[in-house]
Amino acid sequence: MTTNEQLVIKAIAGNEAAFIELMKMYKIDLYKTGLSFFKNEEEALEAIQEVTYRAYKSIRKIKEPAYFKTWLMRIMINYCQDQLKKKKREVLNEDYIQAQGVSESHSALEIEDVLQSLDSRSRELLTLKYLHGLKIKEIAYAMDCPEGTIKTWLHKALQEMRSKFSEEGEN
Amino acid sequence: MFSNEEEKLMKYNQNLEQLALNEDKLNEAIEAGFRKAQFDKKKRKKWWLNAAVVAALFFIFFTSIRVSPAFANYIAEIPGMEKIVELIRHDKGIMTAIEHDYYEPIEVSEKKNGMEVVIDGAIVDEHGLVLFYTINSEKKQTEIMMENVVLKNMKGEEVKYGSHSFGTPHYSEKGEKTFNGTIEYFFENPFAERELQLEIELKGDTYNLPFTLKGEIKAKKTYAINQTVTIEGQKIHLVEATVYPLRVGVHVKLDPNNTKKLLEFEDLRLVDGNGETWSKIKNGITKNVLSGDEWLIYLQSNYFKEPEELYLAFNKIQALDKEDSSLVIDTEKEEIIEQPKGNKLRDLTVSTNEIRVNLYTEKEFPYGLFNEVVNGEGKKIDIDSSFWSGYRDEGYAAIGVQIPHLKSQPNPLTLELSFFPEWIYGEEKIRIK
Repeated sequence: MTTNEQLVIKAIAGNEAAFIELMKMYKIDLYKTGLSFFKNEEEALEAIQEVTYRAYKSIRKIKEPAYFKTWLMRIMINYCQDQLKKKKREVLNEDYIQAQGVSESHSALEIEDVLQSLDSRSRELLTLKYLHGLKIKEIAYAMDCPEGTIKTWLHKALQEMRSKFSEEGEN
Repeated sequence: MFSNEEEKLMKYNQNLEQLALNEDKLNEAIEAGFRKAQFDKKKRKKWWLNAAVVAALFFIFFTSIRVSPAFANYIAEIPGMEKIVELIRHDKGIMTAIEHDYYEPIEVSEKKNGMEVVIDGAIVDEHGLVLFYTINSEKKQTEIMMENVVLKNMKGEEVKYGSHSFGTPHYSEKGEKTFNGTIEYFFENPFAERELQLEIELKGDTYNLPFTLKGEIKAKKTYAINQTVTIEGQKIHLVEATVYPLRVGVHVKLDPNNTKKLLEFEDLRLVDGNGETWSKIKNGITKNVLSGDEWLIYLQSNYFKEPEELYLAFNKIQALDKEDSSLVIDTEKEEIIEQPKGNKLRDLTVSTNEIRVNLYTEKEFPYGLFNEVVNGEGKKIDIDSSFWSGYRDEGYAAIGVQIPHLKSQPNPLTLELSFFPEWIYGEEKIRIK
């Protein structure tokens, strides 16, 4: 068993220090997700706070300690999607655009637009796989689906991305 | 096959990583979320525990009642009493009980590690026990909360209760050395134990507080009513009212042939010959459901007043057409399939373990709506917790329930409405004495 898993087991048992250590271990992953959805630091931080709160409240429900990261990232993505749905905001934060640096900004914005236009399942899958480097197996477990299904969905998501990019190219 | 897209995603990921923020800010966010969860965890324990009855809870609002000068004078003479006034200002019956000397001082305490727990006194009747306590601390505390409270008889057996609340989460930004609160018990069977001990867990220590109740218990007064009234075609049979010092229970039976499902007697009240009224319990259990159509509704007590005439009155009842009394949703599509007429429930969101919906009303409607959820296979699902966001200026309140493994539940989900902003109106005033 890895150290991580031991920490998760401790956290499930109610060890607060273990829980905080775990959260801090994944803070960059959480923050990246927040940034990717909200495009600004403030909301990303708010999301981390809320997700820490939610994770702590439901940590006892984890059945498989090895999949803690997947579980946590899904809470984060769910939260972000819910928030976005509520706001349906399209405005980009200027600080963020500047922070991208001139040369990067175009491609980053483009991909963000495309991600935002995808359906929520596709976006969730792409975020889990490419931003958090999770394995198909882990995603399949978390979503309670066969690996084959996840592969098909991922395939569809990438295909969707491709067609959106080519749409943008044409415009 | 999608190497181009994959590459874009990986590059995007690298960009995000480069943007990663000052670690302190991330740590702070995590710590803040953790503190909130911890405090919330404690706060939730304050909720009423129900051993054997189904009950409806009104959200906690401190609608304070004006303290009469006589009462103010009275309590000024009892040491320590001024502290507890704030605790009972929402309940006229308990205030009158104290005014009539029906408060029994106990003053039992135990000290441990710089903390002291004191049971100051009690109010007892045949079915209820309200204990008043003080927590003293040598050091200032910002947050303090009883972790657990167990009431035992002298044999050490836990006393069976119908409902129980304890441990207001005490919270003080600047820190305090003294905190006061109440612990309440209601029993289904007459409560006859007089030699008791209370076990309180606080900051990891257990305090044992044995005490004896010596005061005479005032016997209940029962008023038989046996009358049926009809409001907008709905028949309500009023069986009786039982008056105890701590509360009044009004026993009602609803006609099973009613076309509407009655939800809540919002303004049920006692009125005496001079027009003085006693309304529903404001902070605690407001109703016990004996069976689907048979309820006990609790009012603040007028026990210590002996009016010549006494009436039971009500003008509005929350009610929905029976076939229209639930919210049916599809969690997969995040869609509302059915809801009561008027489209008041909107903006449904379903996340991993939470159903949230906004209730649009013109005025604040301070009730959680859901008590029971049934899945697509007709199976009842456990609700972990439910919440009510508070009324927002935009004209709605967010209401929801948390359910573990929500998405694995077969659709559609039916959420029975136990409160709703639709009313039937009448003008009922029934003489009971």
